[in-house]
Amino acid sequence: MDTAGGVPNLQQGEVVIRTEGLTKRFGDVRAVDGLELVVRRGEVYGFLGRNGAGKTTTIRMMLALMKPSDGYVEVLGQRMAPNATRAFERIGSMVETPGFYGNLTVRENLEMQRDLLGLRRSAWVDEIIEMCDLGEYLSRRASKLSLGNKQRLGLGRALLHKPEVLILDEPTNGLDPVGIVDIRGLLKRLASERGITVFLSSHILAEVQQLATRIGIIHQGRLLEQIGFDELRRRSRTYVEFRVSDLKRAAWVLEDECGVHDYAVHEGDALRVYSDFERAGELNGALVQAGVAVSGMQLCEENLEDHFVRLTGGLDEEEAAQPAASTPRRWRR
Amino acid sequence: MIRALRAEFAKLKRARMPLWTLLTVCGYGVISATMTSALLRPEAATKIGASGGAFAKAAAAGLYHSNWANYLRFNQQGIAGAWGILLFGLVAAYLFGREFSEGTAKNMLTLPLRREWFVLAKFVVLAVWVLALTLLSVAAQVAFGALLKLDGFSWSLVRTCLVDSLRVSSLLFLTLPIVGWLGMLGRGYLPPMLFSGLMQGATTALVVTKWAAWFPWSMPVLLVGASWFPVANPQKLVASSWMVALGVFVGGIGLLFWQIDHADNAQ
Repeated sequence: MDTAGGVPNLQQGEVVIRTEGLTKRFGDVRAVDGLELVVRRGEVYGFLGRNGAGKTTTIRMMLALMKPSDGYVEVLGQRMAPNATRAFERIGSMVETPGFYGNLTVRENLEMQRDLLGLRRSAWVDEIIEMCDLGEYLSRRASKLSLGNKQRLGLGRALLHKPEVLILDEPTNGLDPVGIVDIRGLLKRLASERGITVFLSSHILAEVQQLATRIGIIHQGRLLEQIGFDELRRRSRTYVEFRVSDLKRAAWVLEDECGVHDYAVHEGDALRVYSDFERAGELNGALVQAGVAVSGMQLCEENLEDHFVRLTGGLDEEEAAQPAASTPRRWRR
Repeated sequence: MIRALRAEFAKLKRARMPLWTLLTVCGYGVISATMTSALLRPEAATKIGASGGAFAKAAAAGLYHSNWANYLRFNQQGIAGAWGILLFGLVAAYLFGREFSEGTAKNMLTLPLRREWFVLAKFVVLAVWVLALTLLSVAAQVAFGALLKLDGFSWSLVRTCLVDSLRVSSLLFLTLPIVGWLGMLGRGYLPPMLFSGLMQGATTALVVTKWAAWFPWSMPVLLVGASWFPVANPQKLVASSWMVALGVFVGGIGLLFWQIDHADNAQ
């Protein structure tokens, strides 16, 4: 595992978020169990896990909304605890569904936030309104906003004081596809143009794959892995995937007739061969000759979903149902 | 602190709760004026007396006289025994529980401001709100009374009503930190309102017992007279009563500070 201890030449100040043995127990249940997590400056860190894996609890501890049972969180070098006011001056956050004062308008909510943050210039609010595309809803009460616009307002609230770190819990939860693309675009711009470090949790793999430069996978409260996307790509195995009509027969053909043993059955009608790529045509011919219809054959590389499944042992229905949309599920050669 | 205070007042802009509380207070004024007006007619007093109840029987027996002195007593007795516990409890539940029911507590607690400032700012708003309702209740009582053309008006009676009403409200204010704490603990309105209802019931049950002098919610009733009519010989609050009331206040504030700083504030 690539943890703080394992990161070579880690310079002082480079680490923006660090957890040490972070644990949260609810009775006998360990919601978060000994989490050792490192987020570096400028990263877009995708915190992945299934529903109930411990993502939100971790984020709540990061923001001192919950007290760890053991261990601690440091953000920007400061141990997080209630009244860690200096740290909060540099952190923007949005935890799950953003909450607002429904009787106040969009502008009034932002102006109140500006006042609470001690920001004098109203121009900061105007800037956020433009950035989050909230111009046409300024005089609308927050309670009348759509979920998508509430998410934008939540993000605007989090960004108002130009934080160095943005901690977001499921920022695209409940959004329609267009809303997801908008928020994703905004986060990408913030990271690239403003150099904001973004820590976002999600159970939607396609979203994280398009945003994050580095991921951490949490499962049943434990951090299974932290890995950069470059490293993930380097590690990803290449394979030839055959879509076949009869998996049993196809497996028999590969093993007994072609002598291929490095393969795996996947997703119902898919059979993946992890070696002998140069023999792909020959294998295809052998399958067809043995009466197995081949509806597709392609050279692929493992993606985040494959990696996640291998680590956690499967996908929830909801995770599996996430549309690939513009996100290619495979990096084709 | 000033920023938190400004925000707490700003949160009330266009909120309906202040209006509902004002209407409730005025509604009570209308009820007490209507009752007094009915008692001006002896046949109505007899009818009311037949319905039972201490006040009704006293009225029927001619012990209650519809004059300014008795009419104004309705106000402080109403705050102490009829609406004060529930309405002030609702205000406290609203101020503290709202942050959780609207999902804004997580925003408030991640601001670069000391969390205690928010508790204190909410208490300032609560105090202003309670004061405003108390003053309004006196004003409404006087205004509706003027329409009844009662005998024996004097400004000293109004002053007595005002002072007694403020004393009653102040005593009840001391119980509100616990209600606010329950709003935070229960993350909404229901637990604090159930608690307020329970305390209202307990007050009614305890007010005729010797324990009333040490039960903070029934102390206001003792302070202004345990009965609706001027024949009672009310118990007096003793020094230890005030210590209990202050203890409940300080304990409630302590619980609020502990809750906001040390408890998990998940939503």
